[in-house]
Amino acid sequence: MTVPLTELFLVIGLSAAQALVSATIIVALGLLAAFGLAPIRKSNIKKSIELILLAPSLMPTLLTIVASLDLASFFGRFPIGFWGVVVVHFFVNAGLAAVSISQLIESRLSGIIELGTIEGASKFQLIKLSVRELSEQLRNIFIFFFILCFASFSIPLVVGAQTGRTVETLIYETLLDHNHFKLALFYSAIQVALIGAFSLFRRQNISAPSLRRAHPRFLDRVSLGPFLWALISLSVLLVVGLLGGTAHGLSEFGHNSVLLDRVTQGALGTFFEALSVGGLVTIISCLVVFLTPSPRLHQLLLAFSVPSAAALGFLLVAIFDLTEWPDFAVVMLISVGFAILIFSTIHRMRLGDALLEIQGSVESAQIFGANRWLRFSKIIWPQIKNDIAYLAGLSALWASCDFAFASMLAGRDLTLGVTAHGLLAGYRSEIATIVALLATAIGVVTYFIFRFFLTLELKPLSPAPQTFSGVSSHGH
Amino acid sequence: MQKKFVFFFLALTVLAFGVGIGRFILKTARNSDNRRKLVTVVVYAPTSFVDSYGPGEDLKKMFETTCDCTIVYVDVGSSRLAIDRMAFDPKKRVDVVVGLDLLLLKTAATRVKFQELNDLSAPWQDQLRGFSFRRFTPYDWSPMGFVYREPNKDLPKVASLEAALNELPEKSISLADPNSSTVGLEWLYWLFRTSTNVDESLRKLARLTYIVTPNWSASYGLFKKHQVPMTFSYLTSLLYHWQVEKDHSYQFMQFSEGHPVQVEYAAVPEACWDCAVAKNFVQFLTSVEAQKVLAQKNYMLPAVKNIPLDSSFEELPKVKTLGLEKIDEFVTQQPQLIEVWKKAN
Amino acid sequence: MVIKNLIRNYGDFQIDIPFWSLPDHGVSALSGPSGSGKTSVIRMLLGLEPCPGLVWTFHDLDLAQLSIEKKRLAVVFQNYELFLHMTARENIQFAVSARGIDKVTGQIRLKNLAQRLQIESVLDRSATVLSGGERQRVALARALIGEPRFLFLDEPFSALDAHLRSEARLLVKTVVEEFKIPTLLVSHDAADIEVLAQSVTKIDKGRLVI
Repeated sequence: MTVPLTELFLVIGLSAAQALVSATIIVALGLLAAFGLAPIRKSNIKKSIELILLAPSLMPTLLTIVASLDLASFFGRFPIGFWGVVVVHFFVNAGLAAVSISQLIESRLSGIIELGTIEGASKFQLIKLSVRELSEQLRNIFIFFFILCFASFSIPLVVGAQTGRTVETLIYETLLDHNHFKLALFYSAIQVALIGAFSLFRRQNISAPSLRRAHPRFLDRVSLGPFLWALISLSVLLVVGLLGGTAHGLSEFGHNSVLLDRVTQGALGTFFEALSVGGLVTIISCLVVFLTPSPRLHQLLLAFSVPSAAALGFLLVAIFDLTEWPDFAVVMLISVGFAILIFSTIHRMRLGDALLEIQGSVESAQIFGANRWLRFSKIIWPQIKNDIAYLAGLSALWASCDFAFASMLAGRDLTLGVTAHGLLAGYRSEIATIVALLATAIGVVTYFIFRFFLTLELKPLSPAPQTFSGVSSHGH
Repeated sequence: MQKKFVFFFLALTVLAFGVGIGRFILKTARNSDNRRKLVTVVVYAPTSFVDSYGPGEDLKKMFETTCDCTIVYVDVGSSRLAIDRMAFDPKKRVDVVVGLDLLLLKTAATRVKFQELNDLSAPWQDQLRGFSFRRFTPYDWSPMGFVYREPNKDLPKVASLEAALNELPEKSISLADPNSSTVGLEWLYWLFRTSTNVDESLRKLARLTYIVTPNWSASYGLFKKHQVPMTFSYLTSLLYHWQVEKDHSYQFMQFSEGHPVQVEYAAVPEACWDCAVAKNFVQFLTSVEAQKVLAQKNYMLPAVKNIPLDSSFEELPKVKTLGLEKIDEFVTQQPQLIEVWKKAN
Repeated sequence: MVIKNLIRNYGDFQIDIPFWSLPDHGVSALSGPSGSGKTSVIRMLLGLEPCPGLVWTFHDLDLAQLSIEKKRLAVVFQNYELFLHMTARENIQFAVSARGIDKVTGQIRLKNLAQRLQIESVLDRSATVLSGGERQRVALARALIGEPRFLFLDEPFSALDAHLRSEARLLVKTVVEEFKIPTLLVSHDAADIEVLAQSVTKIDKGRLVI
């Protein structure tokens, strides 16, 4: 097997350069917008803004690309290639970065900002101080987005042309070029090794968040409203652009009984897939958490990533003859594959850090003689269930919007993602948008199901102590 | 109170979907059971064939009334992927493969063994004389070329491909990648077939190219979204816009050199289980009823003559088409041509 | 109590204690400047960091061979590491469950310790709202309730205000002496050592200073 090394190195270089630029812009602008989001006091308004900011990252990627093209066309032609990939990555991820960093600001900057305010620091000085204080976490966030952009597939596939290629698209091209499955596997191994190497740059020992959240009054001092509004406008324009033309699509449903039938079936399949993926992610997370502390497992999960969605899909289709399988069994297999694909992202995104934050209390429990089950049930699970619920819900949402992986395995319209993919392959992109939005709506419902049921308190809480004065004080 | 309301709503949603999922599971289990009782014909088909608007569902219903069988479609994405799958595991059951493109037939025949079909003497369209083979049966086709929208002041009127390559504005066209799409192979073949200096033509085309997408649908989608003024596509793409969108601004550039044709084929691999029924299905695709469905749902021209169709089919321009000459040579030189294209683009 | 082969290489820093003899009763102190390796020594003895070859003989038992849970040790960390999702009472009761102590005995011990450490009034408060001094005392109660074989105190007073420290020192000294648990106090504060410790070992740059 001859390996075209020049092409490989070129693509690795392009991937890394694009990921570096994308992650820098995403984190920089996300950070600025986060300073606008953190000071917002009204919880309902804040949650609504967070949802708007997260919307582009939750939309099916292909539809985000289409919406990005529409939006960019207001300013001129879309810059196909390297910069096109950077632009779409920014559109998709900036809101997510802003929301993540905003939560960091609230949970970790209370003392710094209050002290700085008392000392009379200017807004610029406070922001500079805050960024320095958050440098560990920002580094990890940067690396998260770097890896996300480096391993990107559908965005460079559509808008990347030659200069925006990534290793993932190279794997895909190699798979299509028959007889080169071995070469594709080799490229996949290189991809895994590179992602593992990048993960080593993550800061391992993260300090625990402060016990007291920063008061919004002090956060006003670092408020950067204009950047937040810019991102909100971007998200709104993307979503509105996507919805444009869907009115025509809606009328089509009444005229096509096959479509209606498939959408009904697909909705159930999507719901089943989303629940399965969320459930599998919960189970795998619980298993990982149960084995905590395990530095080796943590390192492995940080470094590991499934080689390639395309390669995994191809492999599963090659191993299993899915033609005779009942529909729900195929959906289960898709769910298992998808859960495996995204778990490393989930771990890198939050679970790994969450476990590090409670490592001290887990070690204490271990020293006091608690066995693994006691540590898990009394110490780890109560502190981590919110994170797991969030990640399981997010996985379910992503699964509901997936079309690429499901299409590879399904072979028929089992989920709305596959139906939308089929419609996109023809002339009917407006109807595909509606089907994809329906899939997203189902995903949102399953998101809340996991968020709610996994954090349900089954025992009644003990009544608040009568002697408690309600004033918090800390030894720090 | 709010928490109780949320709990109630979520519980109701889970219950409703739980009932639905239960029915889904039962239905699919029942369907599997039914399939086990009848003769099954496994058909590998491209996405456009089996999606909600494709001809697959109608053809399935029509054919199943003529036999004690059930058609099971497997969406393999594209013809290229179909060949890859069959070549990877030659023993895996597949009774029929549809959507094989003309320019991939040689590759398909090299990598996969196919059965000889019954001697089909359908009244083929004049332009498809010589396009039917012992192991591959055509079922629809379309000339290929540049589709654009009128009016467009930026696009000069050109009457030949040579003039188009020289005079059309730069970055004005979206193309499918010949590496991953047979539509891409079609424009590459077009240049190969009609140019005196192919390398030079590829460089000129690179100048005109705004984007190369992995497949036809992304390329056409960008054109529909007005990101580019024209795209390389099927002549019959106009039918969708004329019939469904009632938009006659979509037109086709006719060139004096002639246009390549995309022809789609059906075949029966050696790995078939119910080979006789499979061959009957392929035969069925050339029947009048099937041809009508294929033309109308695929937005392609029927392979067989005298199929009664919508009037808009008659309105399509009658373009000069290229035959099968130099296709073998093209297939052999394909990798080098793609390399030249990559360097130029 | 003898400790042998407490050796580990961290790359830019090394703990190199081939032999260390400590009394198996009363309070011993390990003193040294910041960054001298005190916390690393505790973590290795607790089993939280690997130290192949370590031998820790305590009353004819090699504690290094036992798993962390089975060593029956206790620790009050510098930041106390209370379980923040629990109340003070639940924190202490957790140690009872973890050690497998029966509930009745646990209740009696808890009442006793709460009285001695003056934390009766805060038992039902969430750990997040306790003051620094209260946390320190709850952490100590949690450590002692299981009647550990050995107790580690890692800079237990560093988080307290100066005026609370002397009171806290005396309280800890009284309780530790009453419960007769051999203790290793890690501190760089001379006053802590003077009040609490009967013997002192100095450490600098990962090595014991003789």
